[in-house]
Amino acid sequence: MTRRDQLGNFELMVMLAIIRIGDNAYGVPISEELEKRTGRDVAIGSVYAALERLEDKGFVRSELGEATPERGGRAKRYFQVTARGLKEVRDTQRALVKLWHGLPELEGGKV
Amino acid sequence: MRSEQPPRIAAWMLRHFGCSPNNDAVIGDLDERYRLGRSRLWYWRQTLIAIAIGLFHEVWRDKARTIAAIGTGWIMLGVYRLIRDRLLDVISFELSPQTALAQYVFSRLLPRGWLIYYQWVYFVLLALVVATLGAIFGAFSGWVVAKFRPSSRNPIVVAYAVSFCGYWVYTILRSIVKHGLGAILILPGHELRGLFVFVLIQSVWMTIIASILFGGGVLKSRVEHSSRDGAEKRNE
Repeated sequence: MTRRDQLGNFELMVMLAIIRIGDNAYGVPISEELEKRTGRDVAIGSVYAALERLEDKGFVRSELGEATPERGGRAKRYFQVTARGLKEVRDTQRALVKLWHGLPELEGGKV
Repeated sequence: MRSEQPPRIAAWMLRHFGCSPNNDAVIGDLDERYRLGRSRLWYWRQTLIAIAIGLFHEVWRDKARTIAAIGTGWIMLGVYRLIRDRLLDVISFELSPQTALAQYVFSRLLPRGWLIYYQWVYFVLLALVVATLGAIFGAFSGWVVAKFRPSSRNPIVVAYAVSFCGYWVYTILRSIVKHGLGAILILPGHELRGLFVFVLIQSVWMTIIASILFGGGVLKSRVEHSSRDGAEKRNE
């Protein structure tokens, strides 16, 4: 795997949000999910930048959805994690858990 | 009371300067969240971040072409500068209130007292000539720069305009460092005229920037549909 194919921290969070949301994963629910889980305001522009990188890497795919009046007649773009993306998330999780394991400084949620 | 419509200027800016291949979806998402109760300030902040991130992201993805395009644009602006300086040498002398022709006109043909107004008109005339020339070169260079990436011209043209804005800011700062704030704004004894000339010069810069964006097609009314259908279009 090249360095370019590795998942960044924010990219991983975006992918996890897409997996959580399921079929209705477009910009609004993704950014709301990230805000809810991280407790921080998220810029939609940065969510799309991450999604475009993930699509380039082949970890997510997208398709145009319906346009609604509250969106000014603009179509939604729905995102889905690909099989390759899912594998990458699992690999990243495995690597992180291994790194986490056996660190007394991080046990019990205390830093 | 909070308006149902998102801030117009912010929406216009995002529509025209947004560089993300998913710009329509970004605008739709912002509109949707705004109508769900987000503030105008939130919309503005999201707009500026979306423009900045979209620009940086797209430029970074196509660095070589962006550098080549901006370099070409700057060469064209260099040619403009050469022509402008030559032209200014000639017309600033020919139109000057100090020339024998102006003195003759304002002593024989027009009332002498009008010469004082002509001194102001003189600066406006110079600015008009320079702005017209700058507009032609700006629009042409913007058009040429856009040709480097016809499938998605926005990032490359906006990046070129931003580089020109950077140079504009640099020239102002350099003048302040060299001469101090008072020296660039105010000529001793002619404060108002100094300020007037300063405003005229800045309006010429703004004309060139607007021309670059216009020539590059960024200010055209844009068809509102997603500019991307899958990842393959981006890899053109």
